[in-house]
Amino acid sequence: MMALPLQLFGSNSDLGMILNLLWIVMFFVVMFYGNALQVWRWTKQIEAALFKLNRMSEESREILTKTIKDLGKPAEDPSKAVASMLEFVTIEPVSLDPAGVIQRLDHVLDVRKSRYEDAVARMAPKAGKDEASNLEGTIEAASAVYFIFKVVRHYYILGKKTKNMYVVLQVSMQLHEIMRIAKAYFEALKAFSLGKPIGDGLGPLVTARMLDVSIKNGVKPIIQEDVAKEVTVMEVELDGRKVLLIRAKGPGSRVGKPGEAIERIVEEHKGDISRIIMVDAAGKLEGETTGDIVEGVGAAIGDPGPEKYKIEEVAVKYKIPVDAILVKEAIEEAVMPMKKEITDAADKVSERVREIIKERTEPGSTVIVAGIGNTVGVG
Amino acid sequence: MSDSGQPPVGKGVTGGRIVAVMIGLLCLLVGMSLLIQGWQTNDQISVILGLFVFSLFFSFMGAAWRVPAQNPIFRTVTVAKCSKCDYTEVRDFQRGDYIYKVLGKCKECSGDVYVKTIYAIPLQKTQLPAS
Repeated sequence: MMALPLQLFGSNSDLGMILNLLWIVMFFVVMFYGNALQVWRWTKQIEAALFKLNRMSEESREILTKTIKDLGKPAEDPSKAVASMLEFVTIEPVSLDPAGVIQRLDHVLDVRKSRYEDAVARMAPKAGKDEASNLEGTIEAASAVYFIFKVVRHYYILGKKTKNMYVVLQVSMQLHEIMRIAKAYFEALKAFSLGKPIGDGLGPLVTARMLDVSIKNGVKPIIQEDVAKEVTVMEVELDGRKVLLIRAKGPGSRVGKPGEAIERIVEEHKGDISRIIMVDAAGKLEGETTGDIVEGVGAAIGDPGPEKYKIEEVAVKYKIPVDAILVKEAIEEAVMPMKKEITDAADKVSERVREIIKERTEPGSTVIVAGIGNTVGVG
Repeated sequence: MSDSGQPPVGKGVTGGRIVAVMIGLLCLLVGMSLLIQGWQTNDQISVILGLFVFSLFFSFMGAAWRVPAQNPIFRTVTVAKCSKCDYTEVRDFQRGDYIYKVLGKCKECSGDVYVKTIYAIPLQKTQLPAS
């Protein structure tokens, strides 16, 4: 059985000699050009990913433009305004002097938000309030996809220009993760454009479920709109306690300023709040299960900083304990359409919040339950 | 296994996999021949070349067995319920649906039918509706 290959490839045959020679040549090629070959292979991988990212970015732009045309009925083609919004940048405040950096960041974020609102109002004048909010979310998701494409392209060109293998290597090593995030934002864009609930909407969904239970039990809620920007507070009575359910206004894509709302409400009550319970989605580690519920303490909010700061400040000022209930989700699950495991978890969390209120607060006390997250598709 | 507990899409015998297995087996045969012959004749080049060709066997077999990464395809459904009776309706998500939206009156008890939940379910390739 081995005779034929031995005849063909053995070192005594002609082909064997050629192979031996080829092997020696290959040895020197690998010795002197091994790195170049490896860089070439990595570059090809990045090129393939860039092609996909470019396609995703172009498709995002098309979906965004089409959604603006469908919902906003603009008089002129919004393509130019869309291109301008995709390039929009937000410059973080200087942190060399950290005093007041939170207030400065808060101000920058407020200005950014108003610029987005103005841009959508101009691009889509006929869009309703919730549709306009969804368009803001769509723009943000499209910007994220475009930004990822630009960064990968930058390192690809830089690597080729400088022939620096470490520049190429860095991108190549992270390519899988980069593509995962880009695909997640691409899915998020479709969800925002259609108004589908996303994984991050868990917090508002929990407060909606709690409100639903109260109404079914015959409680008439007192609803206060715009306590802080785009935040609604619903006052209900639950097991003899006054429960203030705080969440961003749905069903458009909004996150609001829940920190500011909590701060105002605590000040209004002169600190007479027995507990603040915060519900949010939390990033899961690989191996953990989507929809798992974990409990802890501290302000459960993933904002850039200002909202969390306000909650912590007011909680410290009046010594109010802050509980956190988190539902595990992968980063991409938080921005993609909500999975069944997450909606199921919302029912369990609302039950758990009720138990916590019974266990840790006295009848007659006031409790804040804050559902943190994006309200797209959650009314 | 995917998140839904179902096997990943793309498993099965394909032309590419058969070719990879055949090349792999050829590499195994040639690699072993060179290795044995090099060993017997004390020819180091044949031994090293044999090892190299033999290692290709694992590369090709690995490629044949690897399940290609698939992007899960999701279908979003809207679950509507009656506020009074057990009436439940599950349908595809439509633009404008949102959780707790009142859709109309119940056909069975004239209670309010509202959207109880909206969620995405992963689809297998075979479950994709024909376009």
